[in-house]
Amino acid sequence: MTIPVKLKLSRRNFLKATIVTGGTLTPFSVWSESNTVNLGLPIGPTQRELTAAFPQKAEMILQRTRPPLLETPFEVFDRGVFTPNDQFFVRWHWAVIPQQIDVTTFRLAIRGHVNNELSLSLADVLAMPRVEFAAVNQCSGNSRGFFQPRVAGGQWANGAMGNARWTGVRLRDVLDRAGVKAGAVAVRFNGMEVPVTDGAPDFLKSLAIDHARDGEVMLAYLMNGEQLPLLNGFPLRVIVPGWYSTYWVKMLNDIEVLDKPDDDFWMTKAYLIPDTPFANVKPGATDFKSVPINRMPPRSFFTNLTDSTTVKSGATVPVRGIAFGGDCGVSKVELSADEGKTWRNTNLGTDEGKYGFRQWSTQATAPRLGRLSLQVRCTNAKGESQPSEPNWNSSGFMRNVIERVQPAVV
Amino acid sequence: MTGIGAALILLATLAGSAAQAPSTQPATGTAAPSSVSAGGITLRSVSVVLPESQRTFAGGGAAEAINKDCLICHSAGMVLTQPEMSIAQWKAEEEKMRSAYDAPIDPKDDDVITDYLAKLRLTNAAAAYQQISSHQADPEHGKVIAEQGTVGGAPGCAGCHALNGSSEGSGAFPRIAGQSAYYLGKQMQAFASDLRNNAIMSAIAKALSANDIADVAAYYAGLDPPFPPLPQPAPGLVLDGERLAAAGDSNKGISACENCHGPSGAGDSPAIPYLAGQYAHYVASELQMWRHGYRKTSSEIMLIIAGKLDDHEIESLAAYYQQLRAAAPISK
Repeated sequence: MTIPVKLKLSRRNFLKATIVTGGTLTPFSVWSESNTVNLGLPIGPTQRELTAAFPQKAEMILQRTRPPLLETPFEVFDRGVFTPNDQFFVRWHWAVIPQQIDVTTFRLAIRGHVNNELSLSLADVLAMPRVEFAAVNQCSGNSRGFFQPRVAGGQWANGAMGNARWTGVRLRDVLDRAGVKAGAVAVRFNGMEVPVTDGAPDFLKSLAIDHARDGEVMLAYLMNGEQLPLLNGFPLRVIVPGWYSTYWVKMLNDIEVLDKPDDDFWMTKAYLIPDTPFANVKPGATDFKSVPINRMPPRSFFTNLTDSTTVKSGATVPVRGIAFGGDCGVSKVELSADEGKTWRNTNLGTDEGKYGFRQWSTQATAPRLGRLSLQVRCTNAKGESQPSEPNWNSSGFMRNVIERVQPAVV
Repeated sequence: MTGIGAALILLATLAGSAAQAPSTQPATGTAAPSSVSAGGITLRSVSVVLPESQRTFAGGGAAEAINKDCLICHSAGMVLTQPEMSIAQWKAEEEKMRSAYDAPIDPKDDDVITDYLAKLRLTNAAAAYQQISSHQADPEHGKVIAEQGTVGGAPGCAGCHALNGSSEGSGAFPRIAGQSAYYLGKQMQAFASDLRNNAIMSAIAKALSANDIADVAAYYAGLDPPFPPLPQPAPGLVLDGERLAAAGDSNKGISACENCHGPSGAGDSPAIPYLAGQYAHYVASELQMWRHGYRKTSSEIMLIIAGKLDDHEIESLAAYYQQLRAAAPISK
């Protein structure tokens, strides 16, 4: 018997059969409702349930129920630069989260290396000098689901971020009221969430004393003019403008001034990044120094177009989105319609504050056939631009590659 | 950061904005919440109920450990949406949970949990494949191929596997009847791409189109013929095999076959093949292939397990599974 050895399995079909483009339902995903969203993650489970089951929250992308991880559906970002409280992303570390907060008995402790340890009521805090500014709150692992090679952790698309107008008191004023002693090194924050098991590390984060006293770091009690949703940290949340959300401790009730560097788990073992430009290393590399994650680099996004948008052949297409500079304002947002060979400026919307989202808008012309391929790039006030190649690190932190969108021409 | 930014605005007109009452609603209770007011702002007490997840890890006994040890601290959702990870990556996660986050994972459960998670990758891949496969498989056409082969030069499958998929009784060829279409198709693709090596099957698979493979896989998946009578293996061998299949060997770090292939060898369709009633000769020879690194399909998990098996263990497992009959009908 002779068998002709001829490759008849079409390469194209084989690829179609092995590349996961979406619609992945695991056999375990017995969902009570069929309301789902495809996050467009490369390979693997990309479908998520949409849920409105969480208190004070409208429809959110369910990444995890307990402790809650809720992502903002991306179309929300097209509606304005301020993210509504009821669709602002949620991320908790530990499952024991107080579900009742009595504002009449709540106290904020300020203790440690201070002259007068304090226990402030919310009335005390409200009576202090008030500040307000817009700032982007972004999870360190926002967009982790797009990392390739993929990494473990919450598989967020781009919606683990939001921009709000925060109102509260300066941390500096609170610290001054307690009187920071000479020799203070850091200020550590503790919120009311508690681990399930006794031996697990309570969630604590700290800032260097000079950063904590810079007059910008805020303890916020209002978010977009309203008290914070419980899941976003009611009644008080640390606001560290320009820095990643891990420092924005929720349900803050304890501030400890340290006279030595913070050696706690959450500053020395978790939330570390490679000390390299854009926290970028080669997969598998180990020869780098790690430092606690800190400031945010610039990012920009399309909000009115996706890969599944269709545009008319030859049409003039309105193109818009949001951008932020990271730890400084947006200098410019540019669009490329030729795979990054040339860039042109877009129009920037109202400046609501250097730490917030800035809307950008422009137009593009759809080709006659195929796809419209667009890229957007933000450059911040320090002259720092988004990179054209995605960064990689094993934690999936700090993604800020230039975004691309390719609507189909019909 | 330097000084007070331009964006930092003292709210001189806060009395105005404070007129907007907070819209946040307590989820429970009807009494007006207590409140605190100062400087024109009112904060109201909040009482909410966070939803609980009813979701558990599916899989009965195989999921007992992961349900017991992992759901204490977190619900299942995020685990089930992880990307493909190797056993080593899952083991690293497991160790992080234990050492850094004090997860009360019973050391006895270590391998059971990581095996379960590695298997998850296979089941995810199978589900994804079924979601995106646009070809509507035609088992009738599959039967024609099985019987007559194709004009492209593939011989009929029935020559070795019989038209009913029970294969001729030598054990040189596996029983394929009732094996999932996904699994059969995946093996054929592996033969076609030489990921799985077999001179005969590779040539045949290369001569079939992707649609032919899907059709013929659908045909054999739909069959449930009787098992041919075979000589009984030595009872001692079967007992040894049963013990290893059910409990593994913790000293040698061999996890139980049942973790993935089920307590009665029924497999877990579509990703995990059944073993009950499979020819001992075939099972033994495939385990030897994995043990020596020649077979590279079906994930690293088989490579790891088979690498720890000795000849006697392989013979026992093969003997055990040949005489076993799945308790439940083997799913398609």
